[in-house]
Amino acid sequence: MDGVRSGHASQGDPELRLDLERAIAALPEGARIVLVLHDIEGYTHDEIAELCGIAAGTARAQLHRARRLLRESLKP
Amino acid sequence: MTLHLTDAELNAYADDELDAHARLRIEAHLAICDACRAEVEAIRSLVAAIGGLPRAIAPTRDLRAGIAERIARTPPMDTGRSKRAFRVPAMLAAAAALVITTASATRWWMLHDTPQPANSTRDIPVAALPVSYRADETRYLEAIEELQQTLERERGELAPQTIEILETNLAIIDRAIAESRAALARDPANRDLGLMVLSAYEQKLQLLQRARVSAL
Repeated sequence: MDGVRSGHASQGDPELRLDLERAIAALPEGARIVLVLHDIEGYTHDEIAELCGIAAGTARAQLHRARRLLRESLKP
Repeated sequence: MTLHLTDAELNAYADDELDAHARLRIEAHLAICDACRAEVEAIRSLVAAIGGLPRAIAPTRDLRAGIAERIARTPPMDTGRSKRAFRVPAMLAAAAALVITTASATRWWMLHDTPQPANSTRDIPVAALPVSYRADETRYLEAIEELQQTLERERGELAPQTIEILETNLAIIDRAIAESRAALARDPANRDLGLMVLSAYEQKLQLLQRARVSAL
């Protein structure tokens, strides 16, 4: 699982959840904003593109970058 | 040499965004590539973990100020295209932040399958609640009070936009607490209502904790 702790664990363990929140807080702002909108708030790439005035492809790229950075920072 | 899937392909597959043809192509590769299969699992695991985070939170410190500009400053990861011009005015950036807050509140009510309350709420005394919830409520109230006092002292360290979003969300959550407490007082044996009260307190605590981190 590439060292990333599971979603179920993060929901049940406050410490793991805090680690994840800290890692999200440390993301570059553009990546963080898109990640929050997509993975937490549930907006689509097209909606994010419209909200933020960027291309949908840019929103996708930022989301993928955010996830990659999170996985790296959450590795034990 | 085996060519692995790109980040874009891995994420699109994990998010189930591909059309049938592309999906078949990716699955054909995954069938013979342990590394890419592990990547997909890692992405899905991460997304599940992120999806478990609370939604009724202020997403970032001073998000309203220059949201598009800050996205623009972060170079996309895997695109060979030139950076697009970001033309959104500040008003739209502010609207984006507002939508986040509003959507959070909306989702809270959807998740709890409860009618959105009227503006007026009644404050139910602790004694009217089931005994089993009083201790939990007291613990939440103590933690929340402590955090609120700390935040009040550090108010000057918070960006005005953060304060505004914080207060908006607090008002929403307080209304949820008042309504769910009232419902619990009417139906003390309803375990779901009890959990709803505690869930609302948990949301408030997390929101304050997030604001506290922003003030550091």
